[in-house]
Amino acid sequence: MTPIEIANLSALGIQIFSQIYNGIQQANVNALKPLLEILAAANTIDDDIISTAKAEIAKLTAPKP
Amino acid sequence: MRTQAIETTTAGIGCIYAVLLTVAFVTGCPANTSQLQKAATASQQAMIVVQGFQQGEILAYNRGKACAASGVPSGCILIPDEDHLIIQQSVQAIAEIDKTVNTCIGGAGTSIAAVDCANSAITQIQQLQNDGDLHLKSATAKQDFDIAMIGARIALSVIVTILGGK
Repeated sequence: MTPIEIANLSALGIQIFSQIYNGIQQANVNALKPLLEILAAANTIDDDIISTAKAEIAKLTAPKP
Repeated sequence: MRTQAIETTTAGIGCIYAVLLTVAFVTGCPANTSQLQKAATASQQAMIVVQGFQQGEILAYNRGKACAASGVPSGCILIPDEDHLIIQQSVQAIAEIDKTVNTCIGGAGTSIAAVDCANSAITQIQQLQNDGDLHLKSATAKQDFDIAMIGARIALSVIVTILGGK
């Protein structure tokens, strides 16, 4: 192989590499989307529980007049 | 000439294989998102149980107070202020533990990491249940509290089962 052929092949390799890498990254993002949606919903419930509990605790621990 | 062409083609194919292997090495195997989704759903369900209990307990506490204040206290189911405080503090702690579980599942590169986090949460909820049982005075509050804690632990145990933990 001539140096030019090697250089062309390397450039092709890099191009293929980045296309495959980007494809996998995009597939990972797409696959993770439903998971992240469920986790966001679970976190919303947690936040509701925490704020409700804090409000109840505040009522009980507030200094009485 | 022909030999050189074959060598070039072979080198090209070899290069592409090398690229594919490098991509596989760099990106690694993606986490099984289907399993992680089930684990996240289990976490969500655990907190639906806890939230249901929390709302029921607040209702029962307020009803007991209103009943006692009505002037006909006989037959009222009273949840003492101390019990209400312990329960709400425990419920808050569990929700905060669950947020950690969610973060763990979201960032879990491996099932083992998510299982460890779920197991840690189960142990912490067990400890909160033990502490609550030790300090709660009302039998009704204690019973309902136990049911909710067991429900939350069972729901979180599903994560361990789904992800193949022991």
